[in-house]
Amino acid sequence: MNGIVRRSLAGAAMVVLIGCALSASAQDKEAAVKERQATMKRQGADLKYIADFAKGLAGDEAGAIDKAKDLLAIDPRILDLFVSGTSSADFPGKSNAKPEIWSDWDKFKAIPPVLQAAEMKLVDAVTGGDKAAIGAAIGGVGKNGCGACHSAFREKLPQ
Amino acid sequence: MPFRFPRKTAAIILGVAWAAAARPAPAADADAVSRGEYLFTAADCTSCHTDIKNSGLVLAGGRALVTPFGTFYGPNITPDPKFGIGKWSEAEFHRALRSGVDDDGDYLYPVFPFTSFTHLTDGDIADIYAYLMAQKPVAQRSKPHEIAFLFRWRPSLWFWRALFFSEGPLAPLSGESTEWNRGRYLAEAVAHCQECHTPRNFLGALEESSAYSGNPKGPDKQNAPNITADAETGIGKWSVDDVATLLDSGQTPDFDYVGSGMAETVKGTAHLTPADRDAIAVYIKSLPPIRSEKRKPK
Repeated sequence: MNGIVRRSLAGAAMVVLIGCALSASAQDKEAAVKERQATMKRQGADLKYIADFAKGLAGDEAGAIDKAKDLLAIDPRILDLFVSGTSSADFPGKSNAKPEIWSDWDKFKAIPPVLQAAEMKLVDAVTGGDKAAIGAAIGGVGKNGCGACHSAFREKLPQ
Repeated sequence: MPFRFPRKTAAIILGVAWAAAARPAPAADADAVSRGEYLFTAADCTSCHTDIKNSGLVLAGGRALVTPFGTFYGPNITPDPKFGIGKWSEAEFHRALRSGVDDDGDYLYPVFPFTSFTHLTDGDIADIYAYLMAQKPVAQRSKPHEIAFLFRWRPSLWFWRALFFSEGPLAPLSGESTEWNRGRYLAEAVAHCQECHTPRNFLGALEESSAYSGNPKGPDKQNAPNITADAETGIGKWSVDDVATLLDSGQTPDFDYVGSGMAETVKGTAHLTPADRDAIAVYIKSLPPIRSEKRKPK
């Protein structure tokens, strides 16, 4: 009798534990979506700071250099932000990452190095101080990095 | 026997003379072809008529467009005489864009945006024809559309056309600037912005009273945003430059980059002259604000 109670208690505990683990992993994935979106926003804000500085609207050179370096620092982490199971199919309405990212991973992972190369040019331009060159370098980051990836792998803009 | 040789020579000389005489005509055509290419790129015809995703042959058709009425496949529009539009006369091509009728006289589905192309000028339609006829023919059969039985009977489109289709070019508005009118022409007739950004009624026709206020059920089930001047649900906070920048590089004011359908569009608008992008931006920014339903916060 005692044995049966103990075994069923252990079984119930196991079910609860597995349930917790599963929901924890679902929460982890949702957190991964949020972290990814926050990181994308941060990159957008960095670029905007540099662009405003280049246009003479706001900001200063030291800040712009910081932001350009921040972009470079984020770059090696980008692929890690795309945890499997976090696509727009897994989180409809929350994630805008197309499932093709994971089904076409080789094509996807080729983009961050291009972004990195463009960002290195941006760091050079910002440190060089020529505002026209900074503008051109921002264009390069946008078109070959952000834009190239979004046009292939990103669903619509969130509203 | 001695006659043979001179005769051949004469034929060659005649042939060369004919080729030389024929040369000035293609030179005049070359301008039409390049003007046509400009319009063709701005309208981004390639996105629907080439299966880019699966590395399909250029303009040979095959891209699937998912709509509430079924899945349509952009047909082969290369000059191939059998599978493309190689046998179409300029008049037939003109009729397809102006009136939405194919070479057999059948009504075309409005998924082909003839409701916008009807506003093109005669000259622009002729240039697009010249460009298409100068492309490489591809002998590839167009995929049949996957649509409900009801819609396969094309004469039923007569009713739709009677209700929703008004044919003919846009008359420039005299009270507006040349730039605004150019922008209106590019947005309405060429780039057919409304086809995605205006909501549709249950018969799939554009709701003109809500023009440009966004379509949550756009092509490929994508949400096309409100681009009227409403500050909260539209792009009221954007400047004319912001709109022009987006059309150039896909970049939004807060340095986001558009994806999906608009990214395809930007591939076309990026090739416009800066003046033409500015004109579209001026026109779009002049649209009256329409508040659309706020989407659920995420």
